[in-house]
Amino acid sequence: MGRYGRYIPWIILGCTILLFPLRTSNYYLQIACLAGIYIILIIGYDFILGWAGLLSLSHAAFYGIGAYTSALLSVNFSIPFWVTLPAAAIVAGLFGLVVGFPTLRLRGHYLALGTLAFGEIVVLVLMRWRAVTRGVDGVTGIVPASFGLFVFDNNKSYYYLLIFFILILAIFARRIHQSRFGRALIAIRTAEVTAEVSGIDTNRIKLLAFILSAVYAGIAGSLYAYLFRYISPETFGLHQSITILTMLLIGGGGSIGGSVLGAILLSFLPEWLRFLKDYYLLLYGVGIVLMMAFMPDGVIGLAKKIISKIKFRLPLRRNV
Amino acid sequence: MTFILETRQLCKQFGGVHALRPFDFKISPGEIRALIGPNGAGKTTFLNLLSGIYTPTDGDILFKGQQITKIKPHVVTRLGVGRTFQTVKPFGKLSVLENVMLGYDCRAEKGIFHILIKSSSAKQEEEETKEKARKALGFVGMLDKQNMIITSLPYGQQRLVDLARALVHDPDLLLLDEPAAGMTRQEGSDLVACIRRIRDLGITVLLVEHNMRLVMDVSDRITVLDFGYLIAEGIPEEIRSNPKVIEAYLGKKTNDAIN
Repeated sequence: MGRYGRYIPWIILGCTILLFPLRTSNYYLQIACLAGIYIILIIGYDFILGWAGLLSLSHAAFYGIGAYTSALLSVNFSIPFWVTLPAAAIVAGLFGLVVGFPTLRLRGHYLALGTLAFGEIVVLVLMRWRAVTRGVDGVTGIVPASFGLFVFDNNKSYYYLLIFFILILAIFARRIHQSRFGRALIAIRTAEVTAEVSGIDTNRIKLLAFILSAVYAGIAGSLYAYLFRYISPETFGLHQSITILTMLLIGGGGSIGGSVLGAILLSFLPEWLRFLKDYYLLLYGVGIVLMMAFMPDGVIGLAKKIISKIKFRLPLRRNV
Repeated sequence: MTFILETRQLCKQFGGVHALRPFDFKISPGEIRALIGPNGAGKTTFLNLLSGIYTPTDGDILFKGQQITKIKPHVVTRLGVGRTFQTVKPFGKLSVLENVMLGYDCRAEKGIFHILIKSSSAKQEEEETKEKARKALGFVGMLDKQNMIITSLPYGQQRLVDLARALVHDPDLLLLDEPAAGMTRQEGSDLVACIRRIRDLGITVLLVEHNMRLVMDVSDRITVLDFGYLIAEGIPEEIRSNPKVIEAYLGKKTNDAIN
């Protein structure tokens, strides 16, 4: 392998991703799109869980807030996608600020419980405030996203739109990870008092991570609304937050690669295991327990371990 | 008046325990001051009060003439107080250089949007931080280890990195909590030289230390605490021969035993 040899796997991977929609069923394509939305959700959730080390159980609520913001703006006021998407991000971010400010003062289990309560409140409001949210019937009639004259009204075109958003959001996330904010988050997770005494405003940085994750969830929610063009409250309940948590833990927190792997793996796994019928959940549960026990750093952690063993390089160095 | 740090009737109580009795303390700029005393004397409590980790029960802390009594730790740091810890808790997943860079991040001004668009000023700021961190690592003699993962270093070297982290943001006052703990004799004497060089930069040093040889060697003045009370203060020679200090460390001499 020459100088560019190390890029070969990436080029193959890139081509596979780009060509995937050409030779697959519409059904699989829809799962792929949903996986793409999960990727954005998990990259956002990683800011809190993987980087700041805080357990929040309200991520699905911000996802729902983003979805409803976009959907209601589109249905009630015919506002186009390119406006409702940033609106969803901003509204979700504002909720992140309002929720994060008091709850981030809580620690450990209490933070989990506080955010859990918020998540439940959001779902209840979405179900009961019929005048605005249309209750359990959900919102229908969302106008498809379009760019100029091009309309993203099928899964194939939407797939490419999602790739565009994933790339942008992943690049943004990576820049934050590699900046002083990323350093500060690692510091807070490993030694909060030392971080504070080093001059880091730990409360502010934690709040920032929380808001960022809410913004990512808001964008994901908006993209979800435009994918199915129908949303209803039960999608955004606690089970969704747990799915997000599981995806990140399985993929491996603290890295974009882990977020991507976790989202894809757990989106397609139910399909691959369909032949098991009712035993699926049993295997799923056992599988997760085993993975948590033997691969605490997720799939990506295991992969890194294997690669570093192949290369005979101990992970003692880290270049900035 | 010309004191860099002054406490007035500073005290701390944990429930019924008086960790620190009302304590008046003054330190002049450019001084190396040691704070000594048996275990439980209130030394670390005092440092934690100064750096804002604890809120005092009563009393005032003045730093450069400014009240810092109820100010959060990160603000105290920004005002110019550096601090190392008795047990180093390095940021394990970060390199040595990044550990030190963290200490300078409080001086950064470019916000998140600069980082998202990778603006040239944000890049420049990051380079500046790196440069500062390298300088601080060079100062403690750890520059060659800059790319190591910190937890792979021996304990004594981790302490030096911690020292660089506390120094990197150019503090006026440096608080060292048992800097020589876990160090070999050689590392200890290097540390003494290092503390002197820190003072030569114009930084006032307040250290808590159990290693008496190091304390006597490096400090200009020594303050002795026992059970939260101030029992003596003076130059090393005075402290060495002070009967109260000897009693606190070795126990009361009873005439019965001699007779």
